[in-house]
Amino acid sequence: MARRLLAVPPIFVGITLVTFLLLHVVPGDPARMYLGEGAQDPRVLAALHREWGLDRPLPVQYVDYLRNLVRGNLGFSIHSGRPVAEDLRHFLPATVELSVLSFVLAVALGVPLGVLSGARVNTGADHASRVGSLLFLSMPSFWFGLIVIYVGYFLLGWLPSPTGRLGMTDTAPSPVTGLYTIDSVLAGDPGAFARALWYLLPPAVTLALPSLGLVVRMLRTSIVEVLSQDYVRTARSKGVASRGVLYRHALRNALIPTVTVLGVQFGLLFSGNVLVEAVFSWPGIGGYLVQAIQWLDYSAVMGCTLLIAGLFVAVNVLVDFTYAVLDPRVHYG
Amino acid sequence: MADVAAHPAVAIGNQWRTAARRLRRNGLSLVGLVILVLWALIAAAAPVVAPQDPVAVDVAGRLQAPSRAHLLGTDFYGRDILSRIVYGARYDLAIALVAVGVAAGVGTPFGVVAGYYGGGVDDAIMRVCDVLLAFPSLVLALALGAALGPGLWKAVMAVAITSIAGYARLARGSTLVGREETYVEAARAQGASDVRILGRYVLPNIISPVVVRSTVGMGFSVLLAASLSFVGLGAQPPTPEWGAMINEGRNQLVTGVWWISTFPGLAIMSVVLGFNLLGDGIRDVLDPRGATRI
Repeated sequence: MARRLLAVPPIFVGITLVTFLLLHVVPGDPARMYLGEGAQDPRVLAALHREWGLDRPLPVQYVDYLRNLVRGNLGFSIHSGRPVAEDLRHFLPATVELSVLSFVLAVALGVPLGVLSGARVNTGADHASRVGSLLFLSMPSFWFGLIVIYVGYFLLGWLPSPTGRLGMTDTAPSPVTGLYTIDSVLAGDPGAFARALWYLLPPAVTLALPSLGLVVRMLRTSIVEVLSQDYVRTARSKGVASRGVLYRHALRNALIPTVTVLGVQFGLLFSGNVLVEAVFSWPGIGGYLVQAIQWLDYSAVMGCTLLIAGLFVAVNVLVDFTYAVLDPRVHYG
Repeated sequence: MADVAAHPAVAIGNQWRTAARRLRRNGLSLVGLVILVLWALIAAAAPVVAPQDPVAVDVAGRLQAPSRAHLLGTDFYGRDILSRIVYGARYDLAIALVAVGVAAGVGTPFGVVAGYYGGGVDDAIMRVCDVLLAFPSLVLALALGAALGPGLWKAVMAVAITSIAGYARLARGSTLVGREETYVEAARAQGASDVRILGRYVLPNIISPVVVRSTVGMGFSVLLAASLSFVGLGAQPPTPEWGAMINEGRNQLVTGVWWISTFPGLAIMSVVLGFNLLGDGIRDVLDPRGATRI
């Protein structure tokens, strides 16, 4: 495990190098961009270059960039008019709330479906859940989000408006964690909790479906594989009921590879959020990133990229720990 | 057996023939293949299949619901959706082929070299891959796309770069196993050059996992490129790329105009499903552990 942890800091350095290069090399001159298309007085340009340190060698600029990162300075966002770090802090809770709920949904629905599919191979239920999970994996989630809004909100009027975390006239619970569902419980307001959950559900379900599809496929494959093992035959031949075989012998072992997939999925949810948030006007990191892209707001784009990649790596390390706990055969280092 | 080991190319030829036979018996992957062949035919014969010019503006006939005149309706500029989807097949299939072609074409040789030579070369290549794989693909593709600027082929490059590391890591793993094989040792003992060993003995034997990954990867590339178009980074108007078309219909949706966004989404779903089904079938066929089949 120590070796696994030692590999993490260089990856973080690599991530910052990528965002730095994308920020400073590819998009051209930020000073020119800042001044706009019109009047570009060369003296003003040179002054800006000096002020921002753009006239210095690239490696020096990278060290500056790192120094700023350590201080929590991610630059200034053109489109929000605030420091990027402040924006990220502001938008992160909404993204966390959405990611956690969709992850819970994907697991709560995916594990039973996967077990069902794997235990009853080639039955109607198996075929249905296989085809369903493939469809979920094959559709663009932003498109499905639009369909959910059209059918659920516009056509039937069953679902809340796609206006973000609450309706136009609702007030947010007083912030403690920044997660509306938890804050409303802390404030002892069941009505606010129900409302927050109500607005959370459509984007969360949209986001959960692709992960759900993957979980079902993974678990089905491993259940089928485990059920053909010798120890399962032994358990059967000594008279263990088939339900007992499935849950005590098969599921426990089949879950091990699935946990890895789940962990990666949880990390990926933060990125899957991007377009789904934009579709549902969800005020999270994803919606912020899409706006930043459309505004050519490079500091904000790379700030989001850095944050999402950092979370992804951190979650993956956590998953490896879990894996080592679940599977005593795995020892790192 | 000794005979086969001495002529790996013969064994590989047989392996592919057996694989093709088994694929033919796999129902779902055949469905995938049929879907893809149909789309390829539609793309190739687009001028014949499409009832109208995909970019012809008709202000009088805009936002028309699906009808006999316009089977899938018209968009904000009165362009025929069906014709745009038919021509869009050209773009989306090209995106899949080019993005995966570049990613596998660049990533595989790097992975083979890393796995075969090991040491410092291996370390250098794999550390770069570790960093690239530390980004979720959608976010890396968006960041690259934002840095490169809007444009269909820039978006395709962003998608390709995003996928390179995956192919490199896959090829490296297979090469590590392959280079220990007896026939590689035999070739080396006969004095074959590294290039000959890699090209003739190592590469043909690691190609099947790359093929499996490429098939599923094509579907994924279509999804990624459509996502980039959806936020305005990929194909630019009036290009009838499917992801861009979904974006064009997005603001009409809340006025009840559902057909602009819905149909291109279905087109994307069917193509990605085709690649996924075919990829599943190929994996089952090439996977030596039959356990994952059934």
